[in-house]
Amino acid sequence: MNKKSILLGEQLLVMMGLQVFFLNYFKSAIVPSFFLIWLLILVWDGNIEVALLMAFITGIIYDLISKGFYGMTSMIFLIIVYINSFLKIKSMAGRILCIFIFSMVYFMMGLFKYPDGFLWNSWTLFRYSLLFAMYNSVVGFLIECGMRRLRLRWKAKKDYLSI
Amino acid sequence: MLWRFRREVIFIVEFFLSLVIVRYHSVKIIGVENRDEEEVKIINYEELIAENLRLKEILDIKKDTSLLKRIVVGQVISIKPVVFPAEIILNKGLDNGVKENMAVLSKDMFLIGRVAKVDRNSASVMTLFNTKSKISVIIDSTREIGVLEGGGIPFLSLRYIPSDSQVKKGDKVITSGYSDFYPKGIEVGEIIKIEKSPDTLFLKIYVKPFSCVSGLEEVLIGE
Repeated sequence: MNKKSILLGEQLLVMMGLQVFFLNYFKSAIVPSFFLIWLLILVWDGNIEVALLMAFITGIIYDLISKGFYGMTSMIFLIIVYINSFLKIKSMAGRILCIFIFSMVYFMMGLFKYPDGFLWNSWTLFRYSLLFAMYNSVVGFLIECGMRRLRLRWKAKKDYLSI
Repeated sequence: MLWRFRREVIFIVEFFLSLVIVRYHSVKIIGVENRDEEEVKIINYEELIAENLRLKEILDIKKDTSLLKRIVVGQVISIKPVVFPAEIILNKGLDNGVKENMAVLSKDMFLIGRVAKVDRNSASVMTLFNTKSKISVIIDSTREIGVLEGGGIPFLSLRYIPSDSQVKKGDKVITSGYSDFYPKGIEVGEIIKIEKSPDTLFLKIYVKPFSCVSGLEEVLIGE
């Protein structure tokens, strides 16, 4: 097993832990989707095939820990990851905006996710999707910042070792 | 070639797999929900049929009866206590023409008690078992008049029947019609035990009421 696979496994575990924690203990109707943000970042880092595979796995995990139809989140994640794979976004602002838009799309597509049907009216749905997108953007920004700092540190370490 | 379109291949395969999972799960969930709904519907239908039959029976009685001039059909909404109740609450009140002291009968035309208190939409019935209940009755066979008193669970006590009376076990007790509350001839119960003591003028008689109050759902309120 190479280093990359281990790193991906670790990331998946961290995201899963965060998602489970927020779904169960965060006292709010809206919880940020760590899986979605992670999948988008994976695509931007060039791991498109891995992101597609992970979209299926994380979608199933998400449906298992929430109350949706099994497989529905996988489908939504797959569509978002596939579309995102054509967007080559490098800047931080562009990525945050992308997270915001995809989060809104994801939330709207949640209309089809619940067996009992969506009980909110269109205005409430819009407000909640906006809130959800904002949460995700903030979380996405924090993760991006953290990862950029980590990458710089690793690069500095690598440069130091190569001297 | 396939390697060139690997992204699309992964996407299509996984999308199809997700679709299969969604379909399987939704069929399972909707199947269970439909089954539950059908079961509830069947139970509701059975309950409606039973209620329909009971009400039909009451309607037939309403047509046939000559004991009461005016009858209101009420539903029992509360029984206190559940066993040998002293009070029952009905869902009919002043708005439905129920007045205080109206007689309350079971659908078999057996006496249950009388309306003690009435509100706009409910009425409280004092049953035969109530300690305050005192009814003027006649023993059907001997035509002797007595007072039937509640409070002595599980039987009612019939008082003021002379000790030389020819009354016997199994005789029916009916309302005398001498009180303001009950018309004459409503069946109340049957005598199940007679005690004679030499130093008293009256017999000690126990009466078992015909109306089983705990099994009631609909009652007739009349005058």
